Amino acid sequence: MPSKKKKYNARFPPARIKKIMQTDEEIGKVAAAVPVIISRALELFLESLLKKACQVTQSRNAKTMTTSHLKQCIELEQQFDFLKDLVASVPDMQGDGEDNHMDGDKGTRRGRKPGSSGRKNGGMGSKSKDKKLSGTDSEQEGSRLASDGLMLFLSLLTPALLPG
Amino acid sequence: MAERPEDLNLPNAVITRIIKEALPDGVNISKEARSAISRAASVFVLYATSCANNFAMKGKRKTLNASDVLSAMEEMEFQRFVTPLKEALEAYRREQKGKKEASEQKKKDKDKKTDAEEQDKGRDEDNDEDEERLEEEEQNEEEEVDN
Repeated sequence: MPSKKKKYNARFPPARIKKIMQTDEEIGKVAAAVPVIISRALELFLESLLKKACQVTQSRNAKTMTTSHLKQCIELEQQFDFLKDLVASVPDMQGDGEDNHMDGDKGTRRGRKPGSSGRKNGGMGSKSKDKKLSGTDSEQEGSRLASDGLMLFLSLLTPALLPG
Repeated sequence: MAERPEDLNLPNAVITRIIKEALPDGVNISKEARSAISRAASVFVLYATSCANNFAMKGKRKTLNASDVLSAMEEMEFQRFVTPLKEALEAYRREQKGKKEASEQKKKDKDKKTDAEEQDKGRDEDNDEDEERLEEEEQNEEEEVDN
């Protein structure tokens, strides 16, 4: 019987955490205890993010959590503001037709260029489309867009990362 | 030092375990969402690090310490993490202390063993050199050993 016991064994490797920390040029030395508590904080954070995103998933009667659900969760919670850039390139949910936050250039449907936002493909609020299908579509794009988004985000956050 | 993007990722196995524990039965996660979670983890580390660093700098310290991280959590509006983090810190310190004591104990045992061996070796002519060396170590600088 799979028990959902939380053992304190979902620990991240301290060395890897430290490496990530040190991509920030301002960071010098790090006390040995620090990666350990960051690991624990990470666990708590991810748990929180996942649980909240799951509420979105379930509210949409979906069985699979997608990047759209994550995105909505991030937009709803102030605590997760720092993640906004990460999901900026994720298309907005097609959803129930009331979610039309196509503010500005966010959320491209089909096109990959941010400029083509707002282009309707059978209508955002179209309920005739199967939710799952559209979820899949956006995922496929999501992976390409997300990696662009990641590079963009990384360049914003840590300019030192990109060569040149 | 080249910073490669792949270095910024945390091990998938741990991410997967956390996801499994956080999601109820019957809810799955797409590949893209899983990947986004992994990236979110890295972003969190960077953000927390940067916040913690501000506190270290305020304290004119160049080394980030645990209290900097705790302060960062509050700053980031994750106050509810502070208590479990303090517990984790305590546990870690106890663990370290335990390890230290264990290794000190080992060292003591080793020394004892060495003493005993030394006495045995004294009867063995082949090990005269060793005996001298050991004696030297024990007597330190207090006495000069005439070899």
